[in-house]
Amino acid sequence: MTAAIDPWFEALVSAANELAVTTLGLESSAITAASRGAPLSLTSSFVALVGTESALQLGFSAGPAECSALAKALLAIAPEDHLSHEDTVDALGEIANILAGLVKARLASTWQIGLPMVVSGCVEIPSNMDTTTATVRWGSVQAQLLLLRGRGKAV
Amino acid sequence: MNILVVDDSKASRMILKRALRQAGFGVHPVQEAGDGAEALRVIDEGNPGLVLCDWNMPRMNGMELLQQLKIRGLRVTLGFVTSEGTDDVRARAREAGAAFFVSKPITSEKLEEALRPFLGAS
Repeated sequence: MTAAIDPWFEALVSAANELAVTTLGLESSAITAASRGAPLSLTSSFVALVGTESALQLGFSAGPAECSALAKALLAIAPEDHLSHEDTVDALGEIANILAGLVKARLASTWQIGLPMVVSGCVEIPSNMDTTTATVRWGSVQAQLLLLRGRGKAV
Repeated sequence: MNILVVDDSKASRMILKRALRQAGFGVHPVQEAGDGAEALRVIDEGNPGLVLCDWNMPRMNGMELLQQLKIRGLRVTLGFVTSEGTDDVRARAREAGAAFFVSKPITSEKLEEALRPFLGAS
């Protein structure tokens, strides 16, 4: 897996694993594929990590059913129960926020965490940014982990 | 004792309230606020005994709320419950007068340990 040599992405994957089995209460978490520069679509939830000289965005992307399942997992709501779109978006933001906190604890203790941003549809990545993605299976839910950062910035 | 939960995420407030119940503190009434400014209003109106506050929030964040409480002479026990759980942030919170610090992900065990000195054994 090419992306695994990136310490930021390694931290993100490790954080995602912890998030899944603790906060989301899912039985497992596994990366099933990795790529670089893949197009972002569906619904994406990001949080910025900001250092003194550089910054990055991290989060995840998933389809509508998967987003609903993740939000309900976070809130410990039964899959068959209704969760409003507003509450789903809020929960997706909180998942990214917790993910950012877990990454910060692993690799970026002095960096600041930004406020979550949840977007729907295709995200156009600026040409000066690198995007690393990996398909992750959180329990039975498939999502994409996302890491965006400015090209040429050192860790 | 009245507890005020301050977080811009409704999901996070729900998780925190659930964790409070699971930690055995369900007998304490819980109020909510979406940011520091709203929390100040709630504190002015009802003076909760304990505030569980997020660190990052729009409009007025947790540290700004803590400063405002000092400026206004409001004696409320405030602690942070946040994803910003590093030693650096903990030290800043402690220096600013935070009574406790709980890092996310929230668990009932973490809450029980942090809040026992203020709410008693669950």
